Amino acid sequence: MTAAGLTGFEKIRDIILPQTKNLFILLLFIGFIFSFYEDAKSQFIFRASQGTGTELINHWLYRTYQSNLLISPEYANQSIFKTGLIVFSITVLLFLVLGSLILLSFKLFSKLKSSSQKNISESKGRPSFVIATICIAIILIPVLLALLKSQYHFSDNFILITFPFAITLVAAFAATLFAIIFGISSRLAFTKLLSGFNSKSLLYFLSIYFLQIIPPLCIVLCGFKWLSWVGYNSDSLIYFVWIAGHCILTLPLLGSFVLATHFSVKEDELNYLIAYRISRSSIVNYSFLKRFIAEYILTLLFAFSFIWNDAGLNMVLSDRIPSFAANLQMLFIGRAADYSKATSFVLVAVTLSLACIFIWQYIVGKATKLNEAK
Amino acid sequence: MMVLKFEHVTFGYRKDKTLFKDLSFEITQPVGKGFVIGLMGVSGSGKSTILKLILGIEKNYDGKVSVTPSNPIISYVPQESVLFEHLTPLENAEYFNRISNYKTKFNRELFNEVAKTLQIEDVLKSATSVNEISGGQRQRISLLRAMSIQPNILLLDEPLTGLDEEVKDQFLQTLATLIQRLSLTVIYVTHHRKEAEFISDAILYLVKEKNIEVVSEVKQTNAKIFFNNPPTVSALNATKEIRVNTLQFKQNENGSIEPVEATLFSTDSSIRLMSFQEDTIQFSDDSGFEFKVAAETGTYTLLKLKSTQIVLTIENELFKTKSNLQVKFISLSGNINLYDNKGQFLRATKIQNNQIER
Repeated sequence: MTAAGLTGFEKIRDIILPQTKNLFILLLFIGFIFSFYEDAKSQFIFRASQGTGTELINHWLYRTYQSNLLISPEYANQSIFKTGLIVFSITVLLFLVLGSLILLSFKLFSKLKSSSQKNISESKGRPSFVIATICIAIILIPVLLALLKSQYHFSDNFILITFPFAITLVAAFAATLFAIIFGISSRLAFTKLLSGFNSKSLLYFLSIYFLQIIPPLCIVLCGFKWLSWVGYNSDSLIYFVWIAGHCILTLPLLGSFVLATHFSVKEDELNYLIAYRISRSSIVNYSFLKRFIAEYILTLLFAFSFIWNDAGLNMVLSDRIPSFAANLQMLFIGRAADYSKATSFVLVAVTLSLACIFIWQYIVGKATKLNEAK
Repeated sequence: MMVLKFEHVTFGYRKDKTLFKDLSFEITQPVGKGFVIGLMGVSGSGKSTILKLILGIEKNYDGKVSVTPSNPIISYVPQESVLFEHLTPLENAEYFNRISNYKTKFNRELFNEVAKTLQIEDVLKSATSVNEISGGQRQRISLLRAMSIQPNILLLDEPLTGLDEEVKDQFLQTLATLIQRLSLTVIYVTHHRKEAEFISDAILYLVKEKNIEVVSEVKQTNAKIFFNNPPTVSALNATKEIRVNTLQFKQNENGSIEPVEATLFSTDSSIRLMSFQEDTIQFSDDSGFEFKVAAETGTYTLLKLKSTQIVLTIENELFKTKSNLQVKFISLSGNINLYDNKGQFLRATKIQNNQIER
């Protein structure tokens, strides 16, 4: 029995599960959808091969299956079943170890927190901020070391980074705008449904993520014919397609974040404004745009980060539009491979993460104050 | 003179679940004076929905909701004040001065006057965030904002929820003063007798009896009469104090009563219900209803009638004064309100030694 008088099972059944059920379903669905992309991404980025030591477990499974097929299909099937089972068991084990470590650190953190005499408002959100900053710093160390070692000069490679950066920024602005418009119009259209995260709004979130499954399905059904349909050879159109593609691909993640942010615009507040017959433009202005400036900036950074790091659409259109993923790949495995140059690309991604952490910290602080006031 | 009319209104949040059916009533403001109607009813009877229909938040209903003269300025103060955390308290209070629809209606003179009456000038001057001010101050800002456009009708939806008693009293007093000074028509939603009794001129009670989902009737009466003689048993239960006891009974041919355990509403028309204050309870050592002390709290003693689950409540001091160790029986003598088996108020009368006056 625990201090609260509930057994571990009862605690999970009555407290943890009801609170996390919807989120669990959503994350499961997101994981499923994104698994469509993950293999493609890792193939694109690593050009997985045994020789370069960049082979991941999925690549290894695929390679051994292909080579076993040469012996016989039956043998290949039996072999993939056995090795798959082992891989699955190891994965589960790793999850358990990871879960235990997280629980252990959470317990340790809770103990430290309860023993400290700090003001609650001061301590809220700060440890996570410190942990995140330390993580970023750890990532930065090898990157900076590599840069120092190679005596890298930013100015020499400024042009290499400028265009991908600029076009990504444009796409990020477009994607953010798209997500904000989507988020605001959804909130205003479904005042009750989207007032919080529950079993009903979960369906709405799931349907947004379902959008992500459309491109892989289209590619499966149409092959690469879609490139000619969208005007791959047209200079101006291809940029539009690239930006529009990113707007659609980032919508589930950005849209969900914006929708979740808009939960704080309560149904009562919207009813209040409707009751006074306040115009839509004023509602959008005061209840959303002016209120969530920090959240929208964070959305922009998310958008930039997703597009900058995207290895799907960017790689497909890399012949026409230079991007971080394409350039990074060339710098790692191309003829003119240059790891120090490649690190400058990584630096942009890391800087983005740092900026996100600071803005997130500000938003958490703001939310904490609001909750305390209530 | 302001007249608000509901004519044969039928409404439900879901098609298969009707809340109001053919509901009609009329609220008329007396000429030249402020008028407050307390809107009461049990939980789920649709008090807040009435406001939503007036405000036009809910539009899908049959029937007609009208206000005369037409196009009045209606202000609304919800249960939980709506304040924007990115605006300062002053900017929140002056919100309508920023909105094009209301800019011309915003009355600076009135704003300053109400701010002074509500005693929140200091809060408005300070540049602190609305997140740092108390619940009472938030609600005052909400009221100030509502008043700033000089409304004809003010709708208040349980505005004192979450405030402590002292702040509640201050708020109600200030509100009453403002209503009279500005000759406002006010609909005040509450389920607290004390608030409604203090502020209301009349009560509009939404009749929703147990096990019945639909509201199709309202009881509208002067506030004093409503609280002295609640028009239905549900109104009695919704507004009664702990000192008010209820007892279901059958009347014998000789006029004496016999307590019965029954669930309202009984089909047996001989079963009635009476309500009475604790001072109607008398004690005797030889006749009446046999009882025993079921429990004693810091303030009240609970008396259980023998062989039944009927419990009457009396203040400890009163019980000690009126009884002694020998008493075993309760008899009722004093003022009572009588209700029929459908829960409708019949009359106020007297009872003497368990015999109701005819």
